[in-house]
Amino acid sequence: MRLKLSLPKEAKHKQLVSCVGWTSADELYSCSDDHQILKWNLLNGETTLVVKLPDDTYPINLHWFPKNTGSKKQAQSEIFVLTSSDGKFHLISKFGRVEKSVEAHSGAVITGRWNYDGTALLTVGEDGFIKMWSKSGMLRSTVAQTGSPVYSVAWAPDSEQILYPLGKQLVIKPLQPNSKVTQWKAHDGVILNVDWNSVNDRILSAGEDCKYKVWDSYGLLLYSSAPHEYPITAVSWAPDGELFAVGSFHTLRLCDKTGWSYSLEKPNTGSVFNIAWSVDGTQMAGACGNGQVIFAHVVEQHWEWKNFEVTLVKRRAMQVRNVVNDAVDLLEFRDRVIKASLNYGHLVVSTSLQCYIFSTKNWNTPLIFDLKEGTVTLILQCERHFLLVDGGSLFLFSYEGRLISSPRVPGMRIDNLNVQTVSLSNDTIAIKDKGDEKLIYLFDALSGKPFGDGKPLTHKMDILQIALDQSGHANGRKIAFVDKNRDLYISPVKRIGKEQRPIKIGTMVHTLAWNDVSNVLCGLQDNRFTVWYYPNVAYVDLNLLAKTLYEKDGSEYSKTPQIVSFVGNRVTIRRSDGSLMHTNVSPYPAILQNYILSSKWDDAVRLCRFVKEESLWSCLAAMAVASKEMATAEVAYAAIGEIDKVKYINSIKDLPSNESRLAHIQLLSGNFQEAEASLLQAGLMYQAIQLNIDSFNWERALDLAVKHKTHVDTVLAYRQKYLDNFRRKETNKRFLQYAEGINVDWEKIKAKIEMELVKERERVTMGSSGPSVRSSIS
Amino acid sequence: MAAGPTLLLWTRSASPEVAWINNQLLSPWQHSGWSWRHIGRPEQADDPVSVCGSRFSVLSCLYRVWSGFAQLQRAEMARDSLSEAGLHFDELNKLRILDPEVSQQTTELKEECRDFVDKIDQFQKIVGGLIDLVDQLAKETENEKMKAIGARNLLRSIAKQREAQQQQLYALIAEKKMQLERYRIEYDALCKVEAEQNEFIDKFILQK
Repeated sequence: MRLKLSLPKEAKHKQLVSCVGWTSADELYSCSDDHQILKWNLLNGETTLVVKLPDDTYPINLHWFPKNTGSKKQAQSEIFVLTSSDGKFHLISKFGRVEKSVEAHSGAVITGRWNYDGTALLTVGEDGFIKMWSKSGMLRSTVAQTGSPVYSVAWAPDSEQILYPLGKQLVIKPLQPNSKVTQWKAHDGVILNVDWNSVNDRILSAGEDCKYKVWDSYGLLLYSSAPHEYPITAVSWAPDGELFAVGSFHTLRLCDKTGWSYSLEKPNTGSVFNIAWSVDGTQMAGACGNGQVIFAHVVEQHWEWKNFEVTLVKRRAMQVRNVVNDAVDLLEFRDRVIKASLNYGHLVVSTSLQCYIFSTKNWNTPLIFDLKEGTVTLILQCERHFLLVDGGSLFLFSYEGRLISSPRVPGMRIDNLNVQTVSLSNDTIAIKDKGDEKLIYLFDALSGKPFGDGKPLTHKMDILQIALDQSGHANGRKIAFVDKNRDLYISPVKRIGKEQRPIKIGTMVHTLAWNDVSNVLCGLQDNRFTVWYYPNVAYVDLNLLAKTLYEKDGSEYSKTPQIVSFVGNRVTIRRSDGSLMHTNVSPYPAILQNYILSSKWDDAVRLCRFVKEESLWSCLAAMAVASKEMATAEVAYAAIGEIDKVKYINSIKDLPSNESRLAHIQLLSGNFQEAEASLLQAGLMYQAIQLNIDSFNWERALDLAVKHKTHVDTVLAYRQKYLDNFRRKETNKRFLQYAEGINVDWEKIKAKIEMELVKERERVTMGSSGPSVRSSIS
Repeated sequence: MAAGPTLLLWTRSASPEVAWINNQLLSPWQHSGWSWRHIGRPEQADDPVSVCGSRFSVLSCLYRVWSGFAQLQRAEMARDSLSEAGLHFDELNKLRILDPEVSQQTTELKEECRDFVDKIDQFQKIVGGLIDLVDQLAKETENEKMKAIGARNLLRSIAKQREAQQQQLYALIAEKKMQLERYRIEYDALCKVEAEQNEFIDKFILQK
């Protein structure tokens, strides 16, 4: 990826250009020390003078009023704030009319920033004040008062906090009074510029120590650049948060969100004082110290999937290369390419007006449909369909271009979703709430309606990343998520009962990805590369979890790597320095999962015998138990030496009725309550009571016995035996109370139990022979 | 007609004196510095010679010359006494206040002065041309000097520019190096994957 620059031969401004701002994807305003505000139309290449400011007004910064996403009418911003060196800020319409000038600071007003919904304006000045203003320019409050000039300011994505530099320090100040201010030393020189992205919630800072740094919103350093030759005067996030640009003297740099640099350009610009990205994030403009306005658009983006390589060669053309036979196709588009995604055999490209769907089998005839808004910020693919985030809405399309659904999330800004906060599988869409980060909204992909009662999945902690598994049945759909503590949890999407809580299956997980075709999860735990061959094991036999893992030293991936893709059995990881690393994982778990999906248990066992790996046997054991395939489970458990499990499975086989067998299989998976519930439902009171006795759940056993007026003495007898074994006395009042009236007689109890079991067996034979008896009667 | 004796008349070159001498005939002894010249030769001795408008025969003319000498001597004497009184006669016998000699010298001075002024004028013209030339030269020199200074500065700045360019190129090289390093790492990783896969295939074949 690199920047393609276009620099006009002659500078249009006579003096240094101090600031630039885009109104739409093709229109830019620039202000200069020669008091002129120019409008640049990129479609026809014209530059027109909007207004000439009075001679004593030296503009410093401008910021367009955020346009309301969602309503098509306001495709363009109408007004912008311009700060100037005489201590005023001006609200100026796009026709150049100065609507209002407000005396704001003593000394220059260095920056003015609207918040994301346009309800408030922040200005910072040389006098060290940070002031908040209403939309109409009335002073609301003084947010902060510092002793030294404040050079920059940025709003948090939720508009609840602000970020500003204070000398060498960065300060995050919540707007609510009396809340805690976060402040840390960020640079070795004065910080000149900060930016905070609303999509990835990351902070950029740059200063006179000639470095730029990337932070997360808690102030954790993610990247620090090597020092440059000159102080860095401008940093700016692309709207989608995937890229950012850095400007310095004669320097323009394009960087990934993790900080490493895609490309470096050395245009003849003087210092770049201000960088602004266009609304669609495909191009940017820089205000140059020599009176130029430099334009740059991002080209040579690269997508890879299996044997296909797609490169954006020009703004309107892509080159596809099939690595296997070196066939090259050139795809041309009518408009500028904004977003693209290549996965699952399809390339989805959105331009400013249309969406193109190419199949990797046929590059010549794409499917084309018109977009509603034409501001696609995210394309997410799964096997059968893909999700477009366009303007303020989500649209799910099939690869035939048919609109399947359009899920609605109440009260949420959709345009700042990213890959980490939304996930898609064939039947489910999961979206992390931006307001309350503990919530995940789950939607049925086909209908676009929320699952179940519509309540979101709630976690006890803020969630950072979510991912849905891709294969298998919709009922077994699982979502994996990483919370703020970097713990990895897995949860079923359709929750039945209380047992199906999210279960923690990993700690210190920085990044994760599901396989594209099988339910294999991989992630980087601490600095180990970990593959969860069968994450569902957590709901079957948590003890087996450790055995179904594959772990490898991940120190070669250095600090904070990111998993880019997990396609087939190849994992691609991007290191923090930007280099891609590939690694293979075993293909067997995926094969095994396929066998299980098609219930080929014999084949599965044969595969495990062939591979002879404990992890695979463990997976098989868990899968067999999950599918209640006890014979296979027995073999598998025996293979991994879990004798207790084998014995238990054997004992389950001896159980008199199917219901109790099922209940015990549930118990084997650790679902105690479900096991009990199924027994009670089947009317097997004794089995239920015995279940509680066996798990030393005395109170519950007594409750059941009393409630159903049976086996009270059995409970008491076992309790007594238990206490005797430990040489202790009964202290529980309820047991004492019931023990008074009942005489414990082991003989009687044993006879009673025997009777129960016989009764249960009879019930089964009755049940099975019942119809035949009836048929003989008729 | 037989050719008469040649009469040579000598006179001073300047015209008033000639006229006077022709009237009064000649008195060559009176004044030093008189030059003589031949003014004509009568064809015959008694040919009338026209001297000052009167016709005489040569002989009578000679007589008249001799008698004229005596007269002249007398006039000389009168003239000396007049010049003492500050009055002079010029060659045309006109009364003059200024001594004709002085007058002549004055005239000469005047002439010479004019010459001098002319020459000075000429000199001035020449010198003016010279100054112009030198001025022009100076200007050109100045120009060249400025050019030289500019060139020198440019040279100096080119060195700086080169340095800056070099720095830029180094930065670009560093960037490319980083990219190369990334590719190298990716290549290594891919090689490893290839090795792993080969190993896997080998194992797979052996097990079968």
